[in-house]
Amino acid sequence: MKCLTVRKASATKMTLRRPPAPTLNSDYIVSRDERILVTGPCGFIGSNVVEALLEFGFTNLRCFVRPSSRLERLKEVFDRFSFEKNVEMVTGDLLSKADCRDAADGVSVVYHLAAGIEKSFAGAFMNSALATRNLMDAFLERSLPKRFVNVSSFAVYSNLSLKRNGFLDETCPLEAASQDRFDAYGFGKLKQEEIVREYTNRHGLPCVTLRPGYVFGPGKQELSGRVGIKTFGPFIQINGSNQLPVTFVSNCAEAIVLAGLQPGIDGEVFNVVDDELPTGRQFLQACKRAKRFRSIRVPYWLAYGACFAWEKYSKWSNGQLPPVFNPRRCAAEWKSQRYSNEKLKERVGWRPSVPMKQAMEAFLAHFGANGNA
Amino acid sequence: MFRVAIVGCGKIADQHVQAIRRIPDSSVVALCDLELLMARQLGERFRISECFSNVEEMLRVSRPDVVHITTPPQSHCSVARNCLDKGAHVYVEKPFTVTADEAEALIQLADRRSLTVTAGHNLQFTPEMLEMRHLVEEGFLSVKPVHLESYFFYDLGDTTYAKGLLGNQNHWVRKLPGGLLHNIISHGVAKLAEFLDDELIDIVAIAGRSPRLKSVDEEQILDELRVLIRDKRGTTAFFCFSTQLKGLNQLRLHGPGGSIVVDHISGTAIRNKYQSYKSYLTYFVPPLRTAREHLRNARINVTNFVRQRLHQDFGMKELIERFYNSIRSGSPPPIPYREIILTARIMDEIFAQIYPAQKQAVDEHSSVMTGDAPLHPVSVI
Repeated sequence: MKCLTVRKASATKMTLRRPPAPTLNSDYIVSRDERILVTGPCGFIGSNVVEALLEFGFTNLRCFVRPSSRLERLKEVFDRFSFEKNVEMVTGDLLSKADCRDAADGVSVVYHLAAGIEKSFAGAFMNSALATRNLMDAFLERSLPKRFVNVSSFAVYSNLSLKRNGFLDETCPLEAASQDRFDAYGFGKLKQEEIVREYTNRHGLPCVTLRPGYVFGPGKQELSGRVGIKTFGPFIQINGSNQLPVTFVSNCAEAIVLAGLQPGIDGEVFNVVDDELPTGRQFLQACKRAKRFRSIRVPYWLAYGACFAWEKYSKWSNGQLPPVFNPRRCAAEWKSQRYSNEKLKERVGWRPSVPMKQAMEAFLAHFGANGNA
Repeated sequence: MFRVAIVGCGKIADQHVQAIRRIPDSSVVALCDLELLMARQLGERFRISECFSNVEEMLRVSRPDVVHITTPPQSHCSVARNCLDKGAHVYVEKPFTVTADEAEALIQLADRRSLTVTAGHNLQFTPEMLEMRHLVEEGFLSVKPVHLESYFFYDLGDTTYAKGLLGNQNHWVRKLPGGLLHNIISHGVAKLAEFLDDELIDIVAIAGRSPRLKSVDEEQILDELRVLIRDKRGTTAFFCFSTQLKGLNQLRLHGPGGSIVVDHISGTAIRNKYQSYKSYLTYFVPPLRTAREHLRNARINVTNFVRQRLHQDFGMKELIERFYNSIRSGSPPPIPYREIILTARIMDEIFAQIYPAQKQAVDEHSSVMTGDAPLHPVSVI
């Protein structure tokens, strides 16, 4: 077995992460030397997942990257460890079945983080749903699958019928009208989840789905759309008293990693949010302390009315203005809800390693230097 | 009711469905894509139940009156032939075909079958282009244009398309004889073809790579193109395709009496009448006249917006509607076949000059014209 020997994390990084596990929990479904595939490893979350896997002591990683992927984040991760030779990089396109077969060969667990960040519905569908289908086909064909970890999003939920301040958990209804919500990304993720469910039911592929909320951390330079919208002038904060379903990137990465290891959770879905969630107002105020910018606040009822009117006009004018703002989006992003991570804690055994206060400090240190409101 | 089918359910197919839904007495009844799930995702969003992965089957079962082909260009000719053979009129996305020979063969086939085809040169039918055509017909330039300029900017930073292309060495765009240029420039070239004679005396093309492409060590793709054209009548034209001249999407027509500048970004058609003024008035009056022209265009755009005539896909809807009307009435198609073929010929010549090594491949492609080219979604520019 190839072992993790020396860890070269910077001091700042070390304070934000838990110490590497000296021994792996024997209950986990994979051993340290089994091959693990990570798609989307160069992304904000993906690079943290790779780092977390290395910290857990896994030594047989395969990272699937696009030819156009920027590898800086991943290289930074490898620089903190001394055994990058044990991490295999595979370049390809998940829309190519042959590339998927190469990637999935001999893999025990797949962490599927690659996502279609496309404005068009067709593009989002292709890069989320079709890519996932190809990967799962290859996983079934070329491996003895132990777990497929599907990383989805909060964007799949519809809270239009939920009461204000009601609980949004894993039982909340899924969005049934992505086209009306004008949310190509959410549509892609919904269809991705549908395909994952189909493969679980029809082919018995052991899958776990995680739906992270808004993932923040050092390197994230834009304010969450759940806080408000950036306009030509000041930042428009909407609502403000709404709790934000946020998760710090390394906490989220640990949740994802654990979801691939814990036994007895196949077929389950988990929301990923941290403890001590801030409200939109608290989050914005903290950002404004780190970097000065102007903002104005719009109450939820006014935003909802404007979205309602916008959608009506869009329909009346046969789409002269696309329905960018609509009640479904308004509710999904700015309605006051409460969130729970109880299921994740109970079934996956996850706890946020980085408390919210420390997470905000790490985020704001970077946001203040480079961030955009 | 016109029964319409779409082959190729990629990004641009959405725009086609939305445009067709705004045209009276027309309905999209069937969708087809080699990847059935692509057809289904489109069908689910627009409530179109007939989805296929085989064109033959779709033509047999759904029996559409018109088929819109929105697949990659390599398959345009073979799919269009198939549709024409089954009695369907055909709207082919740009570029119409890979080569001019294919374009001619397709048009001849449509004529033999008494069917109509058109090319997706939808930018020819934007409000500002319609206004320009009206001005030319009214004689604003005195006679036909003496010189034309067509500028086309393309944003390589567009993540929905260019990123995928740059990151994928097997992308279908790379396999076109003219690469990236082949998939995009027909919009700009078609605007020139409208005013040029069929007989061209000179075409000189030069091409290169932008600093952005050089910075990512891209060696296959050319993204800067300049072309000078002269026809038999002496009309000259300049075409500029660039990924650097951000926001420059214009057609400029110059005649003895004046000029017209059509700007696609601002949706304006600015008239400029050549007139001389005494003394210092030459510094004062023309700028004021230009300002008045811009105000006039702003007023037109506001009026069009209020009247719900400023859809972002106005050109596509207008072209499709005119195409359907020409089929119904038996009148000439909205884009004369002469222009479609001339556009293809100019493009052939440009690519032969800037990619001389690929000319042979183009010729081979023309002679083969296989019927089993892949169908994949085509991207929007």
